[in-house]
Amino acid sequence: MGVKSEEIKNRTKNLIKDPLLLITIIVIFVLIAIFIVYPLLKVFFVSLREPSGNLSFSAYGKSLSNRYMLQGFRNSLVVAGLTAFFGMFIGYIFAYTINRTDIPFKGFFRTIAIMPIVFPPFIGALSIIMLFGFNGLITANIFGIRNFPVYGFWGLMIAQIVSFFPVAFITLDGVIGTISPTLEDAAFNLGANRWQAFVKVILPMSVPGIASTMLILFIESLADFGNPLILAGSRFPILSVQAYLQITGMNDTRGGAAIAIWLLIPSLIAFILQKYWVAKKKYITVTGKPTISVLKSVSKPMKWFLFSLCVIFSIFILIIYVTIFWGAFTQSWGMNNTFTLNNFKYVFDVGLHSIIDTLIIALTSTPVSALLGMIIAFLLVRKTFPGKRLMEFSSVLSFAVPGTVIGIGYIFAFNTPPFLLTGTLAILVFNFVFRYMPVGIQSGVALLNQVDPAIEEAAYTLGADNRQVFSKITLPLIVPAFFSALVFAFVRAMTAISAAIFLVSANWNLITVQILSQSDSGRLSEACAFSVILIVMIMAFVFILKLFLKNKISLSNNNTI
Amino acid sequence: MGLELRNIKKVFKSLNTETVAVKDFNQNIEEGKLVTLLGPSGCGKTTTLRMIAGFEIPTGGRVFLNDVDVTNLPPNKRNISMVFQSYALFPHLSVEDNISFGLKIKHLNKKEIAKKINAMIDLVGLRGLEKRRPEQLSGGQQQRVALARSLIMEPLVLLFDEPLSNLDAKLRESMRLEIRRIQQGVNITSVYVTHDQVEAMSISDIIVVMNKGEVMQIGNPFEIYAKPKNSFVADFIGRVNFIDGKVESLDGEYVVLNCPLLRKKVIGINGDKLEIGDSARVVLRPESLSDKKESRENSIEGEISKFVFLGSNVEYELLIGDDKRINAVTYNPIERKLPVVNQKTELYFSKESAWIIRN
Amino acid sequence: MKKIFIILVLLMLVVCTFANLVVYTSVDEANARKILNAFSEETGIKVDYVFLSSGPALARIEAESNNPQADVWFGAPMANHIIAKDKGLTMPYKTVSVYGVSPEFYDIDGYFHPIYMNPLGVGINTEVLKQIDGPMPVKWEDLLNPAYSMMIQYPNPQSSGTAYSFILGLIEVFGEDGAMEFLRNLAPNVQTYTQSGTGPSKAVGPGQTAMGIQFTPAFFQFMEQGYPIAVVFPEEGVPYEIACTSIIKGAKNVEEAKALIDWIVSKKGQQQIVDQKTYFYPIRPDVDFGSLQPLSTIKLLKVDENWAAENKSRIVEKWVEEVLPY
Repeated sequence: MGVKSEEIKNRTKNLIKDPLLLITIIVIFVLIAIFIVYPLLKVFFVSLREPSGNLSFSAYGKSLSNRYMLQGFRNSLVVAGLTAFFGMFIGYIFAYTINRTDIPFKGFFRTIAIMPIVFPPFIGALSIIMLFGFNGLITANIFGIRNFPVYGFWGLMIAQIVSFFPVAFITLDGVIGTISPTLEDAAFNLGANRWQAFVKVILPMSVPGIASTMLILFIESLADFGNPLILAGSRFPILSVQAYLQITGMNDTRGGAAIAIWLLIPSLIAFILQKYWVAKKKYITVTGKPTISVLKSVSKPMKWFLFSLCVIFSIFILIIYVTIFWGAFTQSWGMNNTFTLNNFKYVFDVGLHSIIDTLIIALTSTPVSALLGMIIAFLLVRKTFPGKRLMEFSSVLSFAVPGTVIGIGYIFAFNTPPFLLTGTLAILVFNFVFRYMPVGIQSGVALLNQVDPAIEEAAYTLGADNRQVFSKITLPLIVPAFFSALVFAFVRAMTAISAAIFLVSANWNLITVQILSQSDSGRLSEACAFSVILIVMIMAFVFILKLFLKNKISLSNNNTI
Repeated sequence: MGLELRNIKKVFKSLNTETVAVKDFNQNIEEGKLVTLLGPSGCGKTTTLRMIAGFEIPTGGRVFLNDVDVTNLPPNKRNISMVFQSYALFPHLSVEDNISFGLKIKHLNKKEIAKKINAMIDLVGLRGLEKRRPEQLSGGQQQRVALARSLIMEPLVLLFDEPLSNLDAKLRESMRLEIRRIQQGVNITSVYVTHDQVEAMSISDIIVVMNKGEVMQIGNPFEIYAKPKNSFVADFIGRVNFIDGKVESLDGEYVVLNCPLLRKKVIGINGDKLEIGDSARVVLRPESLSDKKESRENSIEGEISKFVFLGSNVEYELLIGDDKRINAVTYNPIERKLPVVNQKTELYFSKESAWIIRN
Repeated sequence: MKKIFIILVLLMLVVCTFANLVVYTSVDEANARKILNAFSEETGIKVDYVFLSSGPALARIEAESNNPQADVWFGAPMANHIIAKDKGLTMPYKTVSVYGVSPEFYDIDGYFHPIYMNPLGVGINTEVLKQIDGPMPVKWEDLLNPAYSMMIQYPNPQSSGTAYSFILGLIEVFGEDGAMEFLRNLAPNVQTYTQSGTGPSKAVGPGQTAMGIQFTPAFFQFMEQGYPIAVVFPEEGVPYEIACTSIIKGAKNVEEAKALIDWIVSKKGQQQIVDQKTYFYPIRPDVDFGSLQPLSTIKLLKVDENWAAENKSRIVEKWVEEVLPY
């Protein structure tokens, strides 16, 4: 034991001798404690406090005691599970087809597959109704079906799969892209046919990616509430909506918090599985030079089959967006198709303030969130320090918690000194930073695991300190992760609603709240116009970012050793 | 002066198993010398190297650099550079930027940096490739960049972690000569890790043979080869035959061994302070065996069981008794004819070439 | 690292420095804007407002009660303001402007004050009605017509105050058991129970369902935008909501808040509600109703707010048990 403690002494000494690292770790712990753990504890405390002031778990029993809530719990799990599976499946088809065949229009498919990450809240769901409802473009006008059950399971599944499969695509695109085609060559060489090569080589190698994607989709879908609020309807209760309604409709914060914490349990289980079971199965490590091989993974008929699947799905996604644009540029959505720009005139009259606010908030929170995510990923993968697991777990906790709960938690936590933040820009920014940071952490960790640590070690031996290594070596090497973290954080900051609705103030308002308010008062076309502006702004952001980071991305895609 | 490792220890702990990676390592490396850590994989050589570099924190013991305790200094403060097995070039930087990376971190002025790079590029022979990216270079060129990048820092100690293992055989040979040339040219204290004994022999001033975290022997290449301290070292370095026996009598620096296998006595050098009655073994290199008696004191009789013709030499195997095989080698096979399989033969070896150690 | 740190510190320092009247409005943004702008123009008091629908607004006011961020809660049905009053979230103010307002529209203790009222009605997309070949309903009973199968939407009383008002109105017409029976019979015609009170209009407008039951301003809004909408007030009578406003306890700009209350209840303020085309009904009889369907042609059902509040969870649970599964 004596020798062991000498090592610990050495470690501690080294940590203290590196004040920047120590300070960074402490600052991050403090930030996580204040902006993730503390609000959640507040909510938990509220859920325990009975009106009489006693603490008890009674709200938990009560909230799941009736059949309706139980059914909601079951529905939530089913929808989340199916979303995870089908979202992954479609994402995989896209990723595989783009990476393993020489189909035309790859760039187009890539864009389409990423587009639905901008699924404007409420309006996205409404456009599903416009397509599948009584006078739905697809159901009624194409197939002549009048009674497609768009409200409930089917409508919700369509919306969930469309809005979540891009997340799967982005991950799987990376995974399949890094599996060297020479491996398939080797399999063919050993006498495997194409199907065997796929089943025995490609599929097993993408299993970690598949599993972690599914778990992420499961968690996201479970916590989502924008789509089910419109599409689920009361006959098909969904727990995240019920938590929201319990708080906002029944005025029962305690019960709502209890429901949300029930919801947290499957999320956390999925999360822990993802963390400690899937992540254990090593990511594919890229070594050596990029290998060039002629793509021959699939036969010609298979290729065109996959191609047509992608085409069909792309058309479907396009139709959804066309539907939104259609609403934005016509007098009355679905009823009067006269072209007009009045909706936009209205939007700039009424909503300019909130458009600017949204941009400011998103542009402030995005870089902070992405950079912080990269720093935490760097610490988690490359450094050893006490409490590392705790940091790993707590930093991504907010990802699994339904937004309503986070929103309420933030008000409880930040409405009194010492953290008086309500009504400020800061509360929204902090919320977005810490809520959407986990995605950056995840992709940073995944990519960093593929980078030979010797590259950073080399920089240390050349005299670079932690800060220099991070900024000059690590960050450039994980630019793709940084990029996706930036995009994700920006998109979510622009489209967030569930937590944000509790945090917006007179000075700082958001487009999404406008969309909600406009569609609530019957101005659907105006809401569509807001959505179009949202989509355009996000696409512009992604485009500019790509232009800005283009060199670096293409570079490190090829040779992260 | 130089690098000193004092009682270095490293234990890796995972869940409930403890693995001793390095056990009590002591070594003083003089300035300008190249020391090789040699051993099979998992012997703790790389761990030792990483402790010198500062990437691993020792479980016990101290590391001194020019008499300064650097155990608690981070890698970037130690003035030690390292060349990695994977080269670890910065893929996003050009050759030039890779080499100047450390100088820029040091905030040297531009003129000086340019001057140094110029000299270094000539030294390692990369002229004309300055603007290339690492992936546009061959393995040998990448290795040169890695070396240049480390050398330009003029570190107190240069570390090599199996730098040649990713190169093909021919390139490996020329690169190790070059590394040796450059190392001696700039007279830099170096620690070199490898599992390739030929590489170790050809490049080192001193070799440290390690096994399972323990130092087996420290010595110059000749000592390690001719005077191995134990069977592991003897076996790991080059080809070897072991013949077991019991010490019968002592004769100055020589010892006489009774070997039941040969049904003979063997006289050889007392390599391990052997006393009468100790069980011991003869360490016999194949090239020490000769078919000419001349003045050689010892002999072995057996039947040639097989041979391999390798051009410059012929390796063959002598079967003694039922299952003891002795390796031998003959050079210049064109002049001396090839061995004949199944022929009974007697081979001779001198007492100077029989190194006897404790069994 | 350093840069992030500076950014974070700067963010911490961003504290609100405004002195305008801060309003949480549960009146939709566009209409709130019209009304509050008119107020600002007349009084010179600047108003900052946040749109929050009634549920989130109440949840937020409660969560912020130890340090209120707003001065006035503007809009949301009276029932919510009763809850706020009971929870001690609002403060009383007796305005002299209430003279001339019918007493069931305001709080005798002055905790909340009326802004406008909305009758509940059936919004009908006339084109869809043609598509399904259904007749124009005139009574509640007409809605049970099988021709409307899966073609009606109304909100879920669990989440929507609108739906609860609807059920209370039916109880006035049919009695409690009769109301439940009516709703159970209506169930086969219900396409979905929307979560939000304004959900039905969103499906009726673009023709994804034939009829929606909710408070009517959104239907009028759709009409103005050119959607083929008709509004029917069933002849047995319809409930109505009174949107109220309260001053939040601990408000920082109490004088300005009082000025807003005085103005909105006054004849001037009420006339603005009509003139600004909000499609809300004023609560004073002494204003010019303009193009609105005269209240005299609509049979309004009075609802006992106290009974309504006391029995809410019982009625809602009854609905969940007896109507929802069908």
